Amino acid sequence: MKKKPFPLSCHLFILFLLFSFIANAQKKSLPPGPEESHRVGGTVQDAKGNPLSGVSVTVKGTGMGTTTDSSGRFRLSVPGPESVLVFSSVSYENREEVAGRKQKMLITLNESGNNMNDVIVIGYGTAKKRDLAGSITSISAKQLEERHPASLGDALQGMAAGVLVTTSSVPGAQPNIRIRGYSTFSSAGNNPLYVIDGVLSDNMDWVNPNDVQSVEILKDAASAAIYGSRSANGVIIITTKRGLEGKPRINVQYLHTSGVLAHKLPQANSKEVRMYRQEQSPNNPAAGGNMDSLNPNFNADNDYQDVLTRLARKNQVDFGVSGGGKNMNYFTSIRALDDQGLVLNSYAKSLLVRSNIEFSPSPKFKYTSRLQFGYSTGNRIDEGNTIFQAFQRPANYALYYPDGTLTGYISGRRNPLSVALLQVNKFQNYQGTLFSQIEYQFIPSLRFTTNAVVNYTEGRTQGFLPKLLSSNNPLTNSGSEGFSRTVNWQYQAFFNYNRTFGKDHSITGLLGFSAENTQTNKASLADVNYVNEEILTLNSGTLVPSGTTTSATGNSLASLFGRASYSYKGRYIVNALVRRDGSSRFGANNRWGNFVSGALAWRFTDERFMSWTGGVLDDGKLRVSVGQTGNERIGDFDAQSKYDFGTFFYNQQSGVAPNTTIGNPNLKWESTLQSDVGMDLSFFRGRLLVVADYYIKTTSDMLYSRPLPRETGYASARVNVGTVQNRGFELALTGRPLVKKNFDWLVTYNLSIERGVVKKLNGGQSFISGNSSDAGNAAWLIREGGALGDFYGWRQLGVYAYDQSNAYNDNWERLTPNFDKSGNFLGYTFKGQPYTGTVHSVYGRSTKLQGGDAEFANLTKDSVIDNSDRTVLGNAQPKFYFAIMNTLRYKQFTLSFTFNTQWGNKIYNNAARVLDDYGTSNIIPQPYVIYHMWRKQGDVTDVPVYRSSSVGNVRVSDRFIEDGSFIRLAYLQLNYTLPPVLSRKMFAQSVNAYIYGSNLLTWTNYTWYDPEFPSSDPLQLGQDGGNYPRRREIGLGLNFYF
Amino acid sequence: MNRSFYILILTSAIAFSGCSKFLDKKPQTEIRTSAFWQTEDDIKAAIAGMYSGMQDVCSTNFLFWGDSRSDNFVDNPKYGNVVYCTNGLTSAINGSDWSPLYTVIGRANDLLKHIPQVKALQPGIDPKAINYYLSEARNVRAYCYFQLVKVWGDAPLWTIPFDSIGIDPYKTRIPVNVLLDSLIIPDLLMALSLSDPNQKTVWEANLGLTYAMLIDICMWRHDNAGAISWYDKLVASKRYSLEPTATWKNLFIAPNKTVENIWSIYWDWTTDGGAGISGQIGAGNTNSTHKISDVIWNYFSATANSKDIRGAQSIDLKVKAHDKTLKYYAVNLDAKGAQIYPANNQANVYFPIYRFADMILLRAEAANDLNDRTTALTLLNQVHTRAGLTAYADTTLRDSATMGNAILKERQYEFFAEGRRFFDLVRNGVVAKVMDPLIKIRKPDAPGFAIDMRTILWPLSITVLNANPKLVQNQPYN
Repeated sequence: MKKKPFPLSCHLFILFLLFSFIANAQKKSLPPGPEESHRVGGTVQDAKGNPLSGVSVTVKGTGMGTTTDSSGRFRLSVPGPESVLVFSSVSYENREEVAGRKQKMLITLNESGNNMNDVIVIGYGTAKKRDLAGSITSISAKQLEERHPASLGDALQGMAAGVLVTTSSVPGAQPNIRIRGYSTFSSAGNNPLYVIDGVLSDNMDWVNPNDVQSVEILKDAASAAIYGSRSANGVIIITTKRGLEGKPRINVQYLHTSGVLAHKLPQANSKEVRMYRQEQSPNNPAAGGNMDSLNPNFNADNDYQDVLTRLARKNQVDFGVSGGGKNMNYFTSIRALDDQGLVLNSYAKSLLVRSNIEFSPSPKFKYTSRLQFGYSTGNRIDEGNTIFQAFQRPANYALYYPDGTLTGYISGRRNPLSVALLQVNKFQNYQGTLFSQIEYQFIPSLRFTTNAVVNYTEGRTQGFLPKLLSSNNPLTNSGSEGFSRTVNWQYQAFFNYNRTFGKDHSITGLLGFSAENTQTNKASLADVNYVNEEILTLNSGTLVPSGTTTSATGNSLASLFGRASYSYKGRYIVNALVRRDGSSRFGANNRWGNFVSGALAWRFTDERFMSWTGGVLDDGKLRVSVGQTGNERIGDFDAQSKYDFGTFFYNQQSGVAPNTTIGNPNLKWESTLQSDVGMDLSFFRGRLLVVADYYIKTTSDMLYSRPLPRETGYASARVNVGTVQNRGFELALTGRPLVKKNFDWLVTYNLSIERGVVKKLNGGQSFISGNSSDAGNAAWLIREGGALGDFYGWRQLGVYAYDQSNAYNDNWERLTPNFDKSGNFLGYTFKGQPYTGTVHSVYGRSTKLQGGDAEFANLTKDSVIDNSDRTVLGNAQPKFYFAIMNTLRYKQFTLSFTFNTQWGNKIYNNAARVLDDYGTSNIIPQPYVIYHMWRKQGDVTDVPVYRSSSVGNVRVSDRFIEDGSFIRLAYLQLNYTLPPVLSRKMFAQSVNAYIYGSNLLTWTNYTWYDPEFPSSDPLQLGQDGGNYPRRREIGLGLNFYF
Repeated sequence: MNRSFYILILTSAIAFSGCSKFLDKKPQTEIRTSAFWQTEDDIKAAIAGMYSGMQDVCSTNFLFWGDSRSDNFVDNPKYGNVVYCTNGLTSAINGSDWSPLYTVIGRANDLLKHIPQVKALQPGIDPKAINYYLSEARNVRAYCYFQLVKVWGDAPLWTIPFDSIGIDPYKTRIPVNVLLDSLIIPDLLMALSLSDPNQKTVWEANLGLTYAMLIDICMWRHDNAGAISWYDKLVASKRYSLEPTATWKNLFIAPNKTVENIWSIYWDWTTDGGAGISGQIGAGNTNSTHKISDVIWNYFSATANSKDIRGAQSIDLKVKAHDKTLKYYAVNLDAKGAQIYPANNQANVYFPIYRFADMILLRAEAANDLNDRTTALTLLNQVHTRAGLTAYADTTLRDSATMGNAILKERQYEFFAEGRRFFDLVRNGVVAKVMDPLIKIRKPDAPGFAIDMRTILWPLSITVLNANPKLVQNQPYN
């Protein structure tokens, strides 16, 4: 099975041949041929008699087809009068009609909110939505288009219940997608699997959203298990568009958006800095004042957020040509995107090119070739040293010297403007996919498909830090360059069987085989002392061996899979599937894993005893499924013991030492068992659709990095241990409250409720993820019975108002100190009664706490606040999330808007913590802290006193935990379509213009930039370390279809 | 149709029979355990790996264990942590993690297991070389266990490598004396018998280290006679002598050029990254976490002591913040005459593990303990006068206590920031006497040592404790 990837030259040759065919085919269609006698034509209209444009008309069983023009007319040639034409359009029911010899067919399509006859992609095949027994959400091109997304991931936000899309505001960044919660402890292990036109992938970064025909999200095990190995977190199937028969269709689209900082934060100005300086040095009345009024370094008053941000601009241009002849069709597209982010000098640009070609010389044979190329580049700004440094740096430090040059470091704080302008952190990525597929229809019920694909990704990064930003003495510049290359090939072959016996019994079957191989090579080099700062290639400086690394890794997978389904009149549906996967990542003893699943569906509305529901409930289906899915996303060689080198140098000898993870030859697949009960209901002839699902998803034998006793010399071993369970409820409603001739309204509501629980850990032992010391970054407690995202730390009750406030009775209840008018301490009372017993006090870091020190919940009821007083402070996962999408159409206008919500999640605002913890003398806290900090005996506040020695006033505590709930008007579009008469004058089939807005309104109590940001590590969820700010965006777009 | 169908079935069948091979992937930038340990070069590489582990041991811990808790340093407010110099250690504190030592022990165990196998595979390797490699591994292992004993006391004993997940990884702590008698000393004696006296590279754990450790261990156990006999053997080996006054600085910046250094850890930031100690006591790009204590500062900055050549070569007397120790850096002055410090990621520090002056003063300590003040004075004066100072007259150090104090002080100034001071205080039983008054000044409500002498030992790190439930925390820590 050492299959070589399909050589590029062969591929190009075949393409060349194909193009010649296309040219020939088109020429041939000009002179009247024998087919002329089978030309048919007609008009397609809706129930109200309006012509429908863009309806796809295909000849069943062939690749031939066309679409209707703006007046609903179509013409095409068919193999014979017995051919069956299929008319389909989004949100209309499909209709089949025998072609006959009619030239003036009049076809009326019924609107179908319910899309029961829509054909959807289910993995190695398709199925009618009507016959599904699993939980699959299908998203159409039309729904995606309204979002005008920069990436496909962004467009999926809110589109499906159970799919949480957390978008990032960094230019060029991809969102984080979670389907039905977190099922394992590793970041990669929680990513869904992407299947792009049949090709398995870890991401969909390179898919042009405009090329997408449909997206299917396989959520339950019964659907996803056909991709066994990596499907535990759901599968996202992306199908790109194909050309339709007819003359070339050209589309040109342009979108420009401008964005502003959506939420500006308060920052201490120079006056407030001086106030703070006086708190820092109470004995120095001059503190914070200008010791040297002529020193320009300290005489500024900067509004850093204004300095560092700008009007963000995004330009997006799409161009596409598609069409087809009798035997072939083609779809090509180009997208160019230039996104200039909010923070100065942060940008991303990309270019995506696609060409899809299908060629079927006979009705039995079809050859498909898909070529996709992508290029992206940009400057990833260092958020920590720019927009976040802006808050840390005192506002009175100069940005420029009097001679106009930029400043570098002043008092240990770098100039964020210099960093933004001068620090280089560029990337360039190239990606190409070559896909070839042959389909052969042996007999009408049996089709054979085989395909091969090569994915090539090349990446390059360049970093540079100029002398001005160096903290070394003398100043030195430094930089690095990184190179990476990944080559992946896949091969698949499978048979699809599809037959209906009699009228009532339909059977489908699938049997297939696949193999894939991935190889990644990386190199990174570091350089110092560049001779100039203009040319940043590595020959300019001196190589640093410790920054120079090379790595290479690879893995392979082989699979066998099969599926069978039986449907009786569409009333009783049974399907079962099995997949057997082998992965090179596992121990030799446990390479192969089996994944089995089954599903049942019952269309109860077809039963006679349900006939009374007629008129209200048109269609009702109950689905039950259970199945196993897997995860193998760990290091390629985690199962093997190995020796490392390249980082153990001693006296100019390169050393070798055991890798700190010991091999485990018994390592096996992580398996997730998921059961799902769902209901699909259609009311009022499709005016209201309800899809509800309840699932339980249990991952056991987790691929777990188990800590080893350090005395072994090793840190960890990969083992199969631990159980995580997710339960959830999903509800999707689609309604058409108004359907009038000139006005209609479509509303979709997707709600997801998820509850995860850690059931079993290694040895039952809880552990702390993140920060294990008592102050600083967030910490999480991972424990049995807890949930991922449980913040762990101290509960701050307040701030001691007086030195005497640190007083407790024998049961560690707070006593109230009493003072006379002149402030003399009189004694303690407890619950209004004078207290005469022993007075206990609390110590922090072995110092007795005084007035102004923070009071923490003393859970152990002893005299010290220490590690044992920690508790769970809240959870970072939303209790529920939902989206409401509305589309209102009035004549030529369409208004669509989406509200998006996450509710009940907590965020550790580490950005504020860094500012407010008094940890570094030249980091200035937020104004609130400066104004509210405890200053004198009796102050009642929630901000502790400034202390130069630490008694643990600023611990990892709920002081920095905030509610992350939000409701957002995420997208809005007002679209105007030119009346056909006008667009024809512009030689266009259709022209429309729109106003677009995103992130227009957000309601939240969260105080940093934005409550929505991706956190990839499931053990460390919900920490905001000063993320890239989000923009509020408004744009204008134009689409032409010729 | 039938034919192509069968062809397909056949191809799949063939394909699947090759699958087990297809799924066999080997690491590409690491080497599988089974492919290693073939040649002498493999041994050399693994030896370098072991020493590289010693760099991790020393990087920051060298100062934490030997100096941070002593009267040599205090915390630099805001940047350091006050608990080190006020006896307030906790299980979360940096320095409480013994993993780096056990990593080195694991690598030494690995060498001891596999060197004989390589020898069997490659009979041509010089047996002397084989023996020397074995002696290096034993020396280093003994050194690491002795550090464990000094810092934490009882510790688990691993003498074979943990090289299979089937081995029980959980071991309990073994008492100090058992560690010393059944492992550390036998290891050193074995190293002594295997070592090659002609190997004198200062970066390697050679014969000199064996002697130095035996002296150090005997003194730690107050076995003066033992220490003296090993000292005599060390002197008889004629390997070391005191470095002249003029080149004293070379002990730290060019140990391979001195006659005094016994074992120093090599460092090259371009391959190893910066030495962590630079961030603790002196780096150009960051504030030190440690400040030089008044004890040291006042002594070295006093005009009376300006003759002591160690002062200006140890600490930066020009830095008002008292937070720059320049002992480990060559003189490198800017236009204003101020020392230029390397960035913490570009700092080379050659950690002096043992040097001959240390042995001389230990021998003096032994002599003083045995009331042989004449010998003690002669030895003390060797180091004292080398520093540019006038020799002590026998009249000034007339009793054993004064002599003991003078030796201890000499050691403090001579070995400032060399990871010695705290252990000197422990060995001489004066931790509470010296430290408690200072701690009371540094932090009035801190308890000091006298209240619970068990706090001389460090707590076990929480990470270490969590990873092995069989470990018991040192009392009174929690």
